[in-house]
Amino acid sequence: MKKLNVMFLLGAVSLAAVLLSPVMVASPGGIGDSDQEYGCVDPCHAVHSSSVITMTASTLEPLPGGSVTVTVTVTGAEADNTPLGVMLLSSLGGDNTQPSATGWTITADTSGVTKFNYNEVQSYAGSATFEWTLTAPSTPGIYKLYAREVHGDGAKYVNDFLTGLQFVVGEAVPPGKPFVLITPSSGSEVSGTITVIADVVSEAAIEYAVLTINGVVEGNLSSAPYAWDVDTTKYVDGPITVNVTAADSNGSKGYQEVTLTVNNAAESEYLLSWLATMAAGSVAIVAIVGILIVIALYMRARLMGGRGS
Amino acid sequence: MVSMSALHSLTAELHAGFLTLAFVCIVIVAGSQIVVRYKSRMPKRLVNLAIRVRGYTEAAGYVGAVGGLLGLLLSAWTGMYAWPSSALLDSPEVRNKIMLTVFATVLWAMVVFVRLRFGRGLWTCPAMATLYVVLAFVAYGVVGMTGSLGAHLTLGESVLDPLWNLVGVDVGEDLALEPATAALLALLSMLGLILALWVARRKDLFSVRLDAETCQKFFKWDEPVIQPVNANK
Repeated sequence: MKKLNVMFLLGAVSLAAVLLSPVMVASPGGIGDSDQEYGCVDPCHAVHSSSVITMTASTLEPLPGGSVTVTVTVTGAEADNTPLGVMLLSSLGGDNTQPSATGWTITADTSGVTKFNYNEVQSYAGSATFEWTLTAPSTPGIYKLYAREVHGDGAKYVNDFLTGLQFVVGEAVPPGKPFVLITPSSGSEVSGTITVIADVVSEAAIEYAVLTINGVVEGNLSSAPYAWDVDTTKYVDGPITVNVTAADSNGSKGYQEVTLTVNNAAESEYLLSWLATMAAGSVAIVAIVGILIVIALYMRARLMGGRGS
Repeated sequence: MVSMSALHSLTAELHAGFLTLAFVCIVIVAGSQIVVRYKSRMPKRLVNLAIRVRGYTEAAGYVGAVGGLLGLLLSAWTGMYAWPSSALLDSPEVRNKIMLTVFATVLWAMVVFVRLRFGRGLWTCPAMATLYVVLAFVAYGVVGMTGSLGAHLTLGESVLDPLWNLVGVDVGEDLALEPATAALLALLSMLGLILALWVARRKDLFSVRLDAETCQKFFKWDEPVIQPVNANK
């Protein structure tokens, strides 16, 4: 009788501990001003927010090394007196997505003191404005900046300013020559299947764009969007040279070439860990249940005065 | 031609329904056993109801667990084809969902094993009954987590999101262990199981057949059987 009661008490305490454990490890919302990469953000934000994001800049044609002020305004959204943050990014994919990855330097963020690419308001009430002052890349060319808004309050919301702002730094577009900007940016590490996107700008209509990898033609498109899915497992791990050449109706050609690093070995290690965890977890479950069955039978045998059956 | 995606939705509903039935029935039987155990302190009407209900729900729980297990296997098969095979393992969320589905299947297989091996008589032994109920709780919890990941993949959100946030688990990241850690876990588990089986063999614990008499000496927990309609009148 007493043992029975103790057993149920222990069961109830265990159940309560399991149910209450989330509450005991809860953390306050928000992650504070910091440097953040594009991704799902910690904790992962995956639900599309109803917010409206606008993005403006003091100039879209800065000189190399010139100063640019970028303003991001968020209105709407599900957050109600809870934290909401915005990050300024140079791309919406890949490993290096902060503005510094393409040569931008943040000289001041919204606070005016720090230089983070992610700024947060602690109590969002319908609208918020974020402002960054940056130094433009020193190399003339076409550059883009994007914004991503994240907040919580019931779910993990996210909203990207997908079109971004396009900057022509210096004399980037000489007359009559198409300019190409490839994503992922040079130096990015890639694995599995990736999408190579080329933003092509020209004074004349674009006739076609050709993708070559390590000198081999992999695709040819005659209209935007100039995007190709590339299976990186075809290449040996290490650097690959990706080139997109565009030609316009005047017969002029322009190109950009980037070097990406293929690392499928890391992906294989991930898969090995995943398979090993599944196998080990399954074995552990069977073993634990088996041990508990033996314990239950042992307890029963003891209570029955040593009788096995 | 029915798409695999639609079939997967169907089988997912099937196993979720069966397993919910099994879980609810097992909880009801557990509650009924407690009511019957303390029948001297309970209203007679409630005790009679518990005696009658546990007989039906015990059988329904067993059928639900077997049906749910088959549904889980079917869902795993249709799920493999519902997602583009080239991208099947690219997403950490899909990988986590597959892993939790495997764990849920193993857990429900253990629930069915316990019931199959020890029969209705398991309810006469509190230790075995507790193990059976706790196992059902854990197995159903893992199925719920798997369903939450499925909702993330199809809808981008899940009603369990606040719980994931509170626990601090990011379902979009790999939940895998290092291979060496996983190997050590498997090895220790196997050693523990072998030791337990050795003890069980030495003590002749597996020759037991739990039935209405075996655990009556101390606890007097009845074996839930379907009662004739007028049995308690």
